[in-house]
Amino acid sequence: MRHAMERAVIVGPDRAADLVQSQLGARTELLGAISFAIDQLTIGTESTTAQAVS
Amino acid sequence: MKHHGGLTQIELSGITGLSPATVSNIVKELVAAGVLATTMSTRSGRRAHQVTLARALGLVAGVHFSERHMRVALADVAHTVVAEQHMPLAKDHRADNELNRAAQLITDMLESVDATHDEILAVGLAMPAPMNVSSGIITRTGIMRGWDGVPVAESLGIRLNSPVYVDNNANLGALAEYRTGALRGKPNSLYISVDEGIGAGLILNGEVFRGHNGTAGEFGHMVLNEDGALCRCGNRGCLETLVGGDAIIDSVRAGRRGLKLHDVVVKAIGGDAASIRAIADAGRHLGIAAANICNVLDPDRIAVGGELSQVASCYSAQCGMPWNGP
Repeated sequence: MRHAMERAVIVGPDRAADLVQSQLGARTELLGAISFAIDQLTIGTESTTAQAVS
Repeated sequence: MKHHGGLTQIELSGITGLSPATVSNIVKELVAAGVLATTMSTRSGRRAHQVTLARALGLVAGVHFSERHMRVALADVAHTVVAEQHMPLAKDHRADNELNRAAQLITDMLESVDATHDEILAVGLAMPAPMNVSSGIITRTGIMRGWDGVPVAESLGIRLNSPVYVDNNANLGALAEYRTGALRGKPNSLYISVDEGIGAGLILNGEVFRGHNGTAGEFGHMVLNEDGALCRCGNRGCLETLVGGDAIIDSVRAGRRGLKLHDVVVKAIGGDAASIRAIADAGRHLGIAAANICNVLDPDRIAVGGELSQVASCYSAQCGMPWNGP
C-alpha cells in the first residue's frame, strides 16, 4: 500500500502522509459513536460556564 | 470536556487561554454544581487534578453496525465504557430486526449496570453507508438494501425513547482516532476503514469534514476503472469492487465455499500464499486510491483500520509498508 501510494503522490515519497495502523482497533467506530453522542449533549450549566469565562 | 473526556487543570488552562487560578475557580464551581468531577492523577511525573464531566450526569450509548457485525456499548459522559456487547450479523441484514436487537442489547446492558432507560442522554449510531445526518436516512439506495428508506435514527430513537444521532461509520472512526487514537494531534488527517466495505473519514482543520451532502469520504466508491466490475452502488469499477470483502473472497475462493473475509485474514496470518497475495493486491489498489486523496487534500497522516488492518505483517512483507502504529 505504501509503495503504491508513494509512487503516485505528487509531493514525492519523502513528504507523503504517514501511514499507520488504527490505535483503537475493532472498537474505533463504536468509540466514535460514543464521542459523537457526547458532543450532542447540552450540559446543564454550559451557559453558566460561558458567563463565568466571559 | 465533552471532546477530551478528561484533562488536567493545567491542560484546561492551555486549551482555554484562561489563567490556572481562573480555571481552578471555575472547576470548583462546577464540581459544586455536580457538573464536573476531579481526581488526582500523575502527568509527566507530577501530581495533577484530572477533571472530567461528572459521571452522575448520565449515560450515553454507542451503536456500530457494519456489514457483518454489530457492536453496542454504554458509557458515562467521561467516555468510560461501562458495558459492551458484540454480535455477528447475517450478510444483507435488515433494519427492523437489527434495530430491535440493538435496542434489546442496550436494555440488557442497562440492567447489567443497574441503570434505566431514563439515564440515557443520547445515542450515537455508526452506519456503514453514506448518511443524511439530518434525516437519518441512507443517501444512496442499494448500498444496504435492507435499510433503504428507513429513518434509522428516528426508528432506534422510538425504540429507546432517547435522541439518536447517526453518522457514517468512517466519519466516526476518524473522530475517535483524532480524539484519542492514531490521529491525535493531526488536524488534517484521514481514517480509512478496510473491511467488508471500504470507507474513509476526513479530519480537516480539526473537524470531521462531511461535505455538501454529508457524503464526503466515500472512498470505497472512488471509481478506478470506469469499465470495471459493477458495484453495489450502481457504478462500475469502484475501489470496493477491487478491495472490498467480496472481491478479496472471490479472488481466493477456488474450492472454498462459505469463505468469509475473516477467514481470509486468518489464513493470511497463518501464511497461506493465496490469501497473502489477495491482500497484497488489495494493498496496491488501496495505495493508489490513497495517493489520489493525498494529491487533493495533502493530509499529514492516514490511519488504517478495519479487519484487513489486522494483517499488518502481510502488508509490510508484500508491500514494504512500514507499519508505524502500535
